[in-house]
Amino acid sequence: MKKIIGIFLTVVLSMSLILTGCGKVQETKDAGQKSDSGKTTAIENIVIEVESYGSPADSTRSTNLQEAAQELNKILEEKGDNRRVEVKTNHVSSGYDEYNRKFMLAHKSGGGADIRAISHSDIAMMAQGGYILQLDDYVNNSEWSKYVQDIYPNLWDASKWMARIYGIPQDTEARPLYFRKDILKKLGWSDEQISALPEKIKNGEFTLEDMTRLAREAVKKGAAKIGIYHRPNNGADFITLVYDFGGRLFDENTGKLIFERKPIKDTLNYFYQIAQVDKVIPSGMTSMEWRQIHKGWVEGEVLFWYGGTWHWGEYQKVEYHSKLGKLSENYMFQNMGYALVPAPSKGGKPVTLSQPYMYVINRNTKYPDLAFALIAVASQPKYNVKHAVESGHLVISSAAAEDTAYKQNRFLHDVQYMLNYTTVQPNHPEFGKFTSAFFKAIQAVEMGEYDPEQAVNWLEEQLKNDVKDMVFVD
Amino acid sequence: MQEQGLVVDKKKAKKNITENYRSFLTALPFIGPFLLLIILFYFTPVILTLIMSLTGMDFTLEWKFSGLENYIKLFHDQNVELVIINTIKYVVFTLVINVGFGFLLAIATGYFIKDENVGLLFQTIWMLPRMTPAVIYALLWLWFLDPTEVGMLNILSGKLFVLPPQNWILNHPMGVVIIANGMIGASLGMVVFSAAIKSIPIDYFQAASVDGASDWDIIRHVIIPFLKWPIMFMTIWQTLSLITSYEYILLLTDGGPLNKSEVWSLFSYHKAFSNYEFGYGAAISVVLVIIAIIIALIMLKLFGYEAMMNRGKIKV
Repeated sequence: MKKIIGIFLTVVLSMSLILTGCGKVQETKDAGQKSDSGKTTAIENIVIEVESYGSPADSTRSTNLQEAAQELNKILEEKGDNRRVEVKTNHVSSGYDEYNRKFMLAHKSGGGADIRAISHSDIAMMAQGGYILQLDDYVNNSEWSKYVQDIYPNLWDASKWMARIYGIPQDTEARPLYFRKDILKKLGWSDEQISALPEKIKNGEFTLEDMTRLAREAVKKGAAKIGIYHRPNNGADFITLVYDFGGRLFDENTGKLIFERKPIKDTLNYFYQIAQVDKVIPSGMTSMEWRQIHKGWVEGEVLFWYGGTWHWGEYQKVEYHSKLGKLSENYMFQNMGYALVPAPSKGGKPVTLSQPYMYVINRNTKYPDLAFALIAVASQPKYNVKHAVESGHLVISSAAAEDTAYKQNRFLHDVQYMLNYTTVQPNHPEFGKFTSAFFKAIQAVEMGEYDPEQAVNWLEEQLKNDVKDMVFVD
Repeated sequence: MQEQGLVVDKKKAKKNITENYRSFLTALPFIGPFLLLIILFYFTPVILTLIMSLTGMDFTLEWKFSGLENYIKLFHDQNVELVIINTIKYVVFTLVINVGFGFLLAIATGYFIKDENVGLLFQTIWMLPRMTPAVIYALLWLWFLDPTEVGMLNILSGKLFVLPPQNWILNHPMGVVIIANGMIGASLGMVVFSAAIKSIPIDYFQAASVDGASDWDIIRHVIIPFLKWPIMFMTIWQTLSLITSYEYILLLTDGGPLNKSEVWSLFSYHKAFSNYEFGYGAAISVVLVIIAIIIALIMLKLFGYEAMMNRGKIKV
């Protein structure tokens, strides 16, 4: 019996030691430093966990905070604060829904990363769910306010839920329509005509219909294998087209989502036309692999591509081209052009869409002040410009826009004007249900399963069942 | 006399209860841990799901009780009809492959291949997908069915039948899902059936051979009757497993395109984890639990499960 008790105690003790070792150490105390009064105070090392999402080229969303921690630590030292920040990063490049889901479950059990970079369109859900901190006081009345005061007002709007700030803008972008210059040349376009195309789109002289006609011509004459590519899965790009057709999706006065039947049907009709009538996109576009799309585009098989500014950075960092591998920027300037998404009718206003990323702070964090301070310091132009230039994003403040490195970047300089034509998705917790059902409707028309009328009816019926807070307008 | 008889009956009944109680206490240390596991991992989740289905739990993960709202919503959901049809197709056809093809594999490797080692080698090869992580298995299928001209199936169909490249997953999502699930499920049937074939006394095969029975006759009149219980077990097991499984469908088609391969369990997953409608997803799951119980009871009745579980009539 004694032997059994002995073994039992040994196992319990060993397990306790192992479990103690497994515990997450958030803070450690180092050898002291001398304060002004000459007394030695212990340095408190604080670990701030940061997680971000995006393509590999977007990893600066995390690493910028790591670099900013060094600057913050100097500031803390200068003002006699004995805390020091150490940043642990985790950059995720696939499965955005899962990225959020993991955090939500971790949060409910008292954990989750202290700082996260998320799409602004998830601010409403995260704020209403009580996952993230409201930041108005930090932004307006803290010692760190000076670092974020210069951020563009429209980006602050995108960070709000119920008129309260819940995120600090991290970057923004535009979603241009890319076109292949080499294919246009094969069709007999001169250099002047090609360089004038973005301006013609901006002025409403080149419409969506012209674009489809040109894509059809390119495929017919064998200059391109495919006329147009769009993203293969649910995402904000399809919302751009709803806005392009004059649709509204959110009523700011009532805070409710809106379903406007006509522009939504027009959008579905557009996808039906390009897939089933003009056949300038593959009918299975919505089930293609991302890599296949990028490969087809960089290898010059496709005339138009509904991409994003970040793809400009991605193609220089990821090997999609089977012969060239990563593309050089020179090659891209020679062969690729970019413009706004054309208006549906002559003289109409073209559009683009921005989906600003936001840093948000976990409500479970023990150090909200330091988390905010870290984000604030990292919002300075030197960090933000580095991220923008490396990843093909646009900066968040006028000071950053004036930065020499940013101004000298030809691509970013060229697309900056698109922000005058930009739109954003609604900040509403149930908007995700709309986008996922809308994507299925697009899939239905592209595959020829439904015509636009049937698809819009199906979508309306689905949303009436799924979304509580939506107003239906004919 | 009658009173005396009643007293004796009462005493007997009391004795029986005491005996049953004692035998339960004796068995408790043996079945206790498993009973606890079943309560923890089977009954508790079902009860929690049932409670959750009566709430409007959403992205806030809060228990907001809403009565039967989720069930009413389910009744009005336009996707339900398609999902039910898909589920029936998926379960029935995959089951045919799992049990039927598993049986054929068992016959081939356990009866026709006389060398036991060679039979085992083939069985091990068939077991490989089961030992492979689900994601890898699904990826292999995705590569095999790649819609471009470099996809393996497209190369084969191009060379053999001069067919242009096809998007197999887009055009035949349900077929892909059924075959991929069937192939992996058949290996379990194969193992169970081949073990059962091995346990048939050799005398039966020899006697049949002496009587001039062909292989087909032996399969029909010797093997199949002996395999009644394993076939019953596999059918029930695989039916219940298929009704609730969705991981390969999620990885291969994600229920698409346009809900064409959305089955009931995946429908519940999508509502809960994609739309963050946890209460609604739970209500869909509760329906699944009820259907699974009904199917299990019907199947047990059909196969005469009671006869198998009854105590032997002869006492030793």
